[in-house]
Amino acid sequence: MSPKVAVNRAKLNEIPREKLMWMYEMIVRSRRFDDKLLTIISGFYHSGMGQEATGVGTCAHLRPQDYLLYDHRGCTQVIAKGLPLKKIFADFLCRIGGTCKGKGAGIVHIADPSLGILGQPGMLGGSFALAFGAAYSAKFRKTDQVAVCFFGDGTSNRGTFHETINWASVQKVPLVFICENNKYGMSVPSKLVTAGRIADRGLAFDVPGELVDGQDVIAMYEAAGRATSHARSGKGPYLIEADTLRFRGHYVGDNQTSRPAGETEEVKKRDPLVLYRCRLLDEKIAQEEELARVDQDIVTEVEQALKWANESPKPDPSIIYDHLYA
Amino acid sequence: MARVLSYREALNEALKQEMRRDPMIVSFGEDVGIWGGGFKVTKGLTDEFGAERNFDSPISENAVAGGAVGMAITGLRPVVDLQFADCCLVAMDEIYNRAAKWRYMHGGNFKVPVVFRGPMGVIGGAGAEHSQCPESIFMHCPGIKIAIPATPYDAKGLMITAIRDDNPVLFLEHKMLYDMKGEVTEESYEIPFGKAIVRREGTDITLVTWSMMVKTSLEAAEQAAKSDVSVEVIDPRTLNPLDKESILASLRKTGRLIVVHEAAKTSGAGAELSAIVAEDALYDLKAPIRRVCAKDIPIPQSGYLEPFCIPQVADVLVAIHDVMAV
Repeated sequence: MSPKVAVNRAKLNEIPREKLMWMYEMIVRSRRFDDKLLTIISGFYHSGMGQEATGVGTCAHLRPQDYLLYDHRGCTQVIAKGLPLKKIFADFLCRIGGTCKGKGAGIVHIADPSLGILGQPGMLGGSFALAFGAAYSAKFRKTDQVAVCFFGDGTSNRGTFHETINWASVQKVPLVFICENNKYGMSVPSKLVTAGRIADRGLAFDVPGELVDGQDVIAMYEAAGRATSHARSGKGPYLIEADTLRFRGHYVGDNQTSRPAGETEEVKKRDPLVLYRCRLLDEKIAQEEELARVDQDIVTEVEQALKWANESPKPDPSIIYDHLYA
Repeated sequence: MARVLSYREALNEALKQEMRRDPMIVSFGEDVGIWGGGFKVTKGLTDEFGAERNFDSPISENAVAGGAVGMAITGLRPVVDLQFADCCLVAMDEIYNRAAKWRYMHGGNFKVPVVFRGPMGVIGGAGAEHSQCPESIFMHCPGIKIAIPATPYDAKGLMITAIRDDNPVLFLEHKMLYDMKGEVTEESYEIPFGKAIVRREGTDITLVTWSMMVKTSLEAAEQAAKSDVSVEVIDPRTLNPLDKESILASLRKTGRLIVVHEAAKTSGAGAELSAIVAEDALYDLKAPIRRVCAKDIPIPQSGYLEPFCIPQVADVLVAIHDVMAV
């Protein structure tokens, strides 16, 4: 089986305009958040810049009660699931206003059960089994919740992926796997360590697998719609491989010496924000003035969110003894 | 007349009574379904509660252990059968890094009520990878409790407490104890964690031991009594939390400490207990501390060789003689 490629572009006028504008706003929000964050932190932050369309297109189908296991470049996913930017800044800055109450969180550990954001382990590939458990729990409690597990092409080689997709298929739990294939696991090019197409792995487990242009938010929206409907209707898990691009290095300060010269400039020609903005204008869904207003409002929102986080205090050091046992 | 059950039956009764009480409890693992578990502890659960609440897993220890965490943070109370305690080593990342740390890492946003059942210890020819006692590994892991029952009565009461606990609990059942008979109350009851029990009162030596080695140690104490040596045998029943106060109180009375455990000596739980006594009660000691433990070797496959590897009554008697000779 060759995975389906979503080449048939949906007509924008078939999608509610409100949803189209929501997706634009979320991509911009994530990008401006990322821009700002990169000016204030260093080291252990793995930017997902360039990959915003995957998280936004998917979360457009999720409700607060649906479960999210986000990935190591997953700030977009958390933002699109509804978490206010001020909380995320506060987590990165280790302030008590963050979701982890000052314990510190960043690209991992942001969590808000009221929004279905179930957190993230530091260990790559450590989310798969939890996502299975959350999906089993949803099925067991006879809700129509789905669990969505984001992961990278590098992590697709963890045994936990194979263990989980197998069991999820047997148990027919509502679990959507979304692989953001950005062609690199830290520094290592995917082609050196990953055999075949990740979407094709679904076939081995009797799970639908779909290859999608991850730079096209509408393609992602359409594919995630098929995936979540499939899962919600009791048909079991669904696998999406989003073909996407990483604009930045693995961490802040990574000089990306492992990438061919010129590649980082080349991938930016497939910027999901630029592609979507142009399309909204080309197809006359929105006018320049409206989009510019959204852009400006978000710049203001980001500034205010960071100010709020900066004003939130650091915790009392006694917090190191908190939260060990319930 | 008091009712007598085997350790296995006591555990089975605890599971059934708790599953009747709380519909959110699920039990799973390799062979726990119709077969009733590798050691038959889950016998009859599928018949009574159905395959949604007691079910077979694939041979996918990471998906099993991590899946339980995902269920626990979304409202279920899973009881997982690892089949052999040694299998925790296969699932180590999900237990040590996910279960034990999830609440802490995520600022107290979640509860993780999981019971990991691990049948442990030498049983006659199970070999190096199926005979281990892994308690000390987890004493080194803040965030997971350890229950380690030595009698049918304790097996039931500690299991009920473990299931009702909102934290992960490693529940170490000894394979050689499954057929042990003892009085067990029919009504449901809890045994609080962190409360040691004095198995035999004495005045000359404090002997701390648990699980299978309680039986060995009591036999040695009985023989020592014939030589007018009075051994107090204390079973902590849980190693985390550990009832330090009861151990230290006994030690202050006797002035002599022996620790007996089936796990290997080096960096075993006996090392920690010895360190506690050295830190808190050194000047109460009348004699050097003695540890009677397995040799620092893997357990050979040969059942004939096993008794030469783990503590026997004679080994405990040698230690008793040593500490009394000072």
